[in-house]
This record gives sequence, structure tokens and C-alpha cells, in this order.
Amino acid sequence: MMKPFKHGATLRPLCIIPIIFGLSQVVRAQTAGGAAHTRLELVSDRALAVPGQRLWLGLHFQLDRGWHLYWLNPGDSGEPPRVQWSVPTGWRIGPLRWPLPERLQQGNIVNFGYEGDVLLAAPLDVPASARPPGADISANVHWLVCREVCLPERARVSLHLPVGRPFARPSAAMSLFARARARWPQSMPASWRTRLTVSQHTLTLEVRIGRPASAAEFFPYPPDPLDHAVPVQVNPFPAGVRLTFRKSDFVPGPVNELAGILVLPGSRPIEIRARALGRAAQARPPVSRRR
Amino acid sequence: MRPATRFALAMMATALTLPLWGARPGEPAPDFTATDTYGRTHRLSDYRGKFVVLEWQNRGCPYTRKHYETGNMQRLQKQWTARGVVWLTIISSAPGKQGYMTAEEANQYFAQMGAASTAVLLDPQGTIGHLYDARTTPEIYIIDPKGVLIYQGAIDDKPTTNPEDIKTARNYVDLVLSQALAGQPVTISATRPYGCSVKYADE
Repeated sequence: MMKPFKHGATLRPLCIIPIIFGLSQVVRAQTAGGAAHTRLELVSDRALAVPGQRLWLGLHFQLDRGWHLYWLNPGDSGEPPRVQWSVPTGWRIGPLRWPLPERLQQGNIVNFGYEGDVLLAAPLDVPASARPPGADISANVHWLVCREVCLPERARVSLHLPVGRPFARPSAAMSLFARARARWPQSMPASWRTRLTVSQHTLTLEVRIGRPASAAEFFPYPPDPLDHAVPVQVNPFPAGVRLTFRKSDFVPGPVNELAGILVLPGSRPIEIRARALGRAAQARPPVSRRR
Repeated sequence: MRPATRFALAMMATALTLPLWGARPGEPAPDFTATDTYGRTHRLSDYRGKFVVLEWQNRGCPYTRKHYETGNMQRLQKQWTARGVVWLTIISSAPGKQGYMTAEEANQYFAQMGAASTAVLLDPQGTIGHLYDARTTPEIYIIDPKGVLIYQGAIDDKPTTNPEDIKTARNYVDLVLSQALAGQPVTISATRPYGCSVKYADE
């Protein structure tokens, strides 16, 4: 329920919108030479920072048509955006949350990244001691944007966050956050079980979810032991699914763990972490995947 | 049969008979013959008895530029060719793609950069690139005097376009060649390469 405004319900939102848009400007990226291909804006999911509470900041990248930027694991080329935050003393900013990327393939190169637009969000804990008028937040951002060719771009974006009580209104950027959150990976359900079997050239990830899954897609976190150019074999079984990957020739030695995001039909992206069987098992010749 | 069809069939036959994953450390490096920017022919197997470095290059790629515009690549080339290593710089960019150069353009560019490779090989068809399954620039392969691949992967451990990172990076060419030339076992035989995709001809 909305709390009635003292100055009339129609006037108040009109005041807030100019504040949000007036203080967070969209910045065209800078690049060493030629035109930039990204617009960047720093936004927050709340119009006001409430002392002692958490809000979310977001770097909203808008890319020219045909260009992409990279996920935390860029795949076979490229690199993820890097951010240096500047927040007042006592304000604590957490790590970036990355929405599920797309798989982008060009010839023998497979990348994980984003086209169109993407919001990379980070939690900001407002100290209980925060007082009006507010705080200036800024971010120095470096990233690589690619179409067929790649260009390093950078921008410094800033945002003034007014400190207010007693409640925090959603900001105009709320829908951007809602869209990003829907693509954030979730923790693995407690009933699921994972198992990783490693042979000389393959890795088999078995995920038991209590039902067969006919399709699956996997996005590996770094350090990434997979050869992405070789198609993944997806084998459903009554209790779940097995994915067999080709191990990358660029990753010598044993693989002890595989972590990443698993996407099953009709399910939110799920974060998976699977430990390999002991090294002795890895030294054995590969066994048949079917039982 | 139309030439295009014949070509497609030939490509399919090649794809079926060739090993799918280029070269692997510990195995013989695939042999090739290529022409350099002065029209000279180089056959990899003619360099038996020497260490050989293959460096995939694209002058427009920001990662390649990081290593050339700081002089890091030229330093590596000078340092190791001075110790008898053969350094072959390979350009697999197709005509019209980023990094493609004619022989003349390449000679001018590499002279201006002060490069010190043994030779710059022109591979506009991507034949050598596909033979090694080279995916990025700069990507490095190191071959021992017996013709065995002893290293493939990244040039160093800082996968960025930031020139500042070169100072603190662990350079794998230095690491592998120092160990190999001293007769020691090579401790790192493969790393995940980083950089731009190789700008091959469209399939």
C-alpha cells in the first residue's frame, strides 16, 4: 500500500524522476581511437539509500547492434568487464552479480557474453550512520566490446544517492534489476546431487534432480577446463541428466572440480559445483558412460 | 561437379581424416610449408635441431597491440632468436579481415615496429591456423629440436589489454624457453590462450 504523500500523490513522483535521471547520466564509453560502441549508466534499485539497509547498484551497458561484451568467463577470447568502485567510507560494496550469458559462436571460437543490453549489479550496504544529504558513488569501468573486431572501452560513471528515511522507494531503474535478477543463477536445490567423472579427454557431469531432463546447457566458471568448440553430449536418464564435455587441450593435468551454471528446460539457472572422483579414478581408462 | 561442390566435398573429407584437435603438447608438431613476406619458403621440419616459436599475429587486435606497442613481443623475439631459437610470426587473417597484410605492408609494419622474428609467414587461407587449431592472437606454440610440441597457449598469465599488466605478468615464452634451453623439464606445457579470435576467412 502506498503511503499518502503530504504534497499530493501526483506531484511527488514528478519530483523524484528528475532527481534520478538528473544525477545519473548515461555516459558514452571512451575508446583509444574511433567511435565507442557502448553506452554505460550507473543506476540503483532504490531512489533513496536507507541507513542500515542494502540496496543494489547496477552498471547498465547498452551495446550497439551486433556488438557484444563478455561474461565472467569470456570463453575462447575476450575478457570480462572490470570495475573499480569508489564509495564513501563505511559504505560496503559487494561482488558483481552476472546474469546468465548467451553462448556466442563464431567459427571455432565460442564466447560467453551479452548482446543488446546487460545490467551487472552489486550490493551496497548503507551504514547505519549514513546521514542526509547523501553519498556520491562512482565506478571506473574497463571492458572489451567486440563484433568481428574488438575494442577496449572505458568510462567513469557516477551517481548521487540521497539518504532518506523511513522507507526506500523503488527507482525508475527497478525493471532493469527485475530483468537481471530473473537471469541470476540460484543455489542448487538441496535434493539435487552432482557427480563429476574425469577421463583423459572427457568430463562427465551427472546431475540428479529426481526427473529426467531432455535438454541442458552449461556455462563453466573459471578456471574453465572445457573445450567449447566440441558439442556437449546430453544424455537424460530417469533421475536426471548427464553432460559429457571434451576436456580442453589447454588444460594439462587432472581436473578436480567443475563449477558453473546449469540451465534445464523450465528451470531458473542453477549454480553447480561438482568435485571429481579421486585421482586414481582419473588415471583409469575411460569407462562407458551408459550403465 | 561444380568447383564449389568439389571444394566442399574435399573439405569434408579433410575434416574427417584430420585429427579434430590440432596439435597437442608431447606430440609431433604438424608439419607445414609456408611463404614469408619476402617470398621465401619455410618448412617447419627444416628447422629440426632448433627450438621454434610460432606466434599468431593480428596488428589490429588490442591484445596483440598490447605486446607490440610496449615492445614486449620484440624483446622476446630479439632475446630468443639471439639464442638460436627460430621465431615464426604467422598471420592467418583473411583478405578484408582485421590484421590482413600484403607482404609489402607487413614488411613495412614489422620494420616500423622493430620486430625481430626469423620470418613472418602469410597464411591468408588459414591453412596453418586450422592445422594448429589456433584460435586467438597472440597465441603461442613452442616446438623442440625433435619437432615435438612442448607448449601451446597464452603468451602470459594476464589476459587483458592493459599494457601495465605486462610488468607483473608471468611470461610463458620466457618460462618455457628458459627451462627447455637449460635442458630442464618444462613445467607448463599448456595454458588457455587469450586474446582476439583469429580472423579466418568466413566458412
